[in-house]
Amino acid sequence: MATLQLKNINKIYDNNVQAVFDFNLTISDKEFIVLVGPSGCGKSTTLRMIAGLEDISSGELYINESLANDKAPKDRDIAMVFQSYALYPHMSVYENMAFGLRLKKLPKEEIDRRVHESAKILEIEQFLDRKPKALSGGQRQRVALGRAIVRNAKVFLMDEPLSNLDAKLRVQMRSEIIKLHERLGATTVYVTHDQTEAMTMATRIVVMKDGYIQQIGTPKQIYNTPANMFVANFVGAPAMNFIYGKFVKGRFEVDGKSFMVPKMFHDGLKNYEGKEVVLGIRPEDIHYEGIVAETFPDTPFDFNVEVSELLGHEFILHGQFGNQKLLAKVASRVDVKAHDTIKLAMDVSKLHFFDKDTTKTLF
Amino acid sequence: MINTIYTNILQSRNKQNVQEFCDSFGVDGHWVNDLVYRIDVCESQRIQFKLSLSSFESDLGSNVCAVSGIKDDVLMLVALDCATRYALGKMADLSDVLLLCVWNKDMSLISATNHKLKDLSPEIIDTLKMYFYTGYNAVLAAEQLYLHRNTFNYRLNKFVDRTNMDIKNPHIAQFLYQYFLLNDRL
Repeated sequence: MATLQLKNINKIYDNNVQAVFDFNLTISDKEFIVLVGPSGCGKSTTLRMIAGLEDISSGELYINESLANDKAPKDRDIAMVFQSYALYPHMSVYENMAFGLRLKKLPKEEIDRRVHESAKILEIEQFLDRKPKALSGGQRQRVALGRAIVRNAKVFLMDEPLSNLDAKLRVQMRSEIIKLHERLGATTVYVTHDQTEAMTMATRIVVMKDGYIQQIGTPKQIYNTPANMFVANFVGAPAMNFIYGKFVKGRFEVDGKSFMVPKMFHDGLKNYEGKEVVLGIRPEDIHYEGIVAETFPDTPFDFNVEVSELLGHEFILHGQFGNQKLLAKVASRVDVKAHDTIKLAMDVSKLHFFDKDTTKTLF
Repeated sequence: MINTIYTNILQSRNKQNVQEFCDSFGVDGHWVNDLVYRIDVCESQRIQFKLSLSSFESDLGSNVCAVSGIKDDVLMLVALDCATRYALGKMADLSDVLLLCVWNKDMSLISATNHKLKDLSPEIIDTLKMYFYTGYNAVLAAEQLYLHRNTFNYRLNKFVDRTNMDIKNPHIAQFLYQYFLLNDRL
């Protein structure tokens, strides 16, 4: 059982550079929290503050409801997994896993039991005598996980543990970590800059930028109701389209084109009558199927395909809406080539609207 | 190519564990003072040390800090002191520490390097600078200085003998290049 609570956490370095601003998050027992954001957004710093390897400049960190700001890292009952595997190259897999326990002066029999138990969970028992250089990338990553598991820690902190693996292995290890989390039930904080990892693994995602939390929510909430343009742009591949236009008398006008905005959005947009707003629509919510055009008869538009990228089961089509860049993701049942002009329609029930200046979502 | 790593253990209770960790990577282990341990490592051991340090910190449950550079206790203790302030929990190269110092408006490492190089003749310094400015091209650098290639090499070797800074080691060369560049500007 482990809960974490971060209250108004700030991190200011000696040179007055502030890496984390007013970070507030409560993590329940057994949760899998993913901190996601671009490089330098403060996610690793936050993780190191939880581990106690970085001082907290101000704010409070509670582990199991007891204040942990001044607790030594070794007393926090936390295990970390790093991006570079960080295995000891001269030690065998067994010794790598046992080293941390040896430093804690645990009895030999206890160390042996824990190492074999963890190796069994991770299916690396047959490699216990090997040195890290004799292992593949995936096996090394398993050993790195094993080093954390043997500690029986209540909290796991993972700092981009899959970034060193190739794409295929990353997918495989992703599911293994999810299974491991289900089996061990340890509260986990996972740092990544990969939105796919965040979406597939998290019970809740914390999106960060420039040291500030942008949004906290389940993967579904983050995807369906992004708090601002940054989150909307960061989650989803390809990123959400942003179209700058005006809301006039229930219609969205852009570069001489206009279409009816569904009534469900009118209340939220009432203060923006005649003003410029940013419309967001995900490429996957733009369709060429007739049924969508029939459902939303006002939205079909001619789309001149500039580039057509075939991904196998779908096309990513690049083109313009008015004078603004637009990407659409459509099924590849029909062949679409560059320079074709096709009819596309937006699923207007999936529209998002943002304030042009604050970039925040309007509702 | 030998690098010397200085590790600051910050708390003396970690002494035995840090010594064991460091000795498993390098040779000639030696306590410089109560909290700083020094080892010599080859290039592959240097990078392995760097990659393992985060795990070690986690196993130890305590911060450590390390700087890889030359065998010179005076200069390296200054660098380690700076690294402890600006790069805690990492192994930094001497050149990394120099940049972090300048970024933090801390002149201590520049001053310590000034002091180390103060007795060198201007000819040796000019020879070295030209070597860096020509992208480590000894033939071109000698030509630019109107020196015979042997004279040029003689001066470079003299620098290495006097300072114990092996300019054939890319990490040291990078540090010196940055130092000259910054020192001329500051």
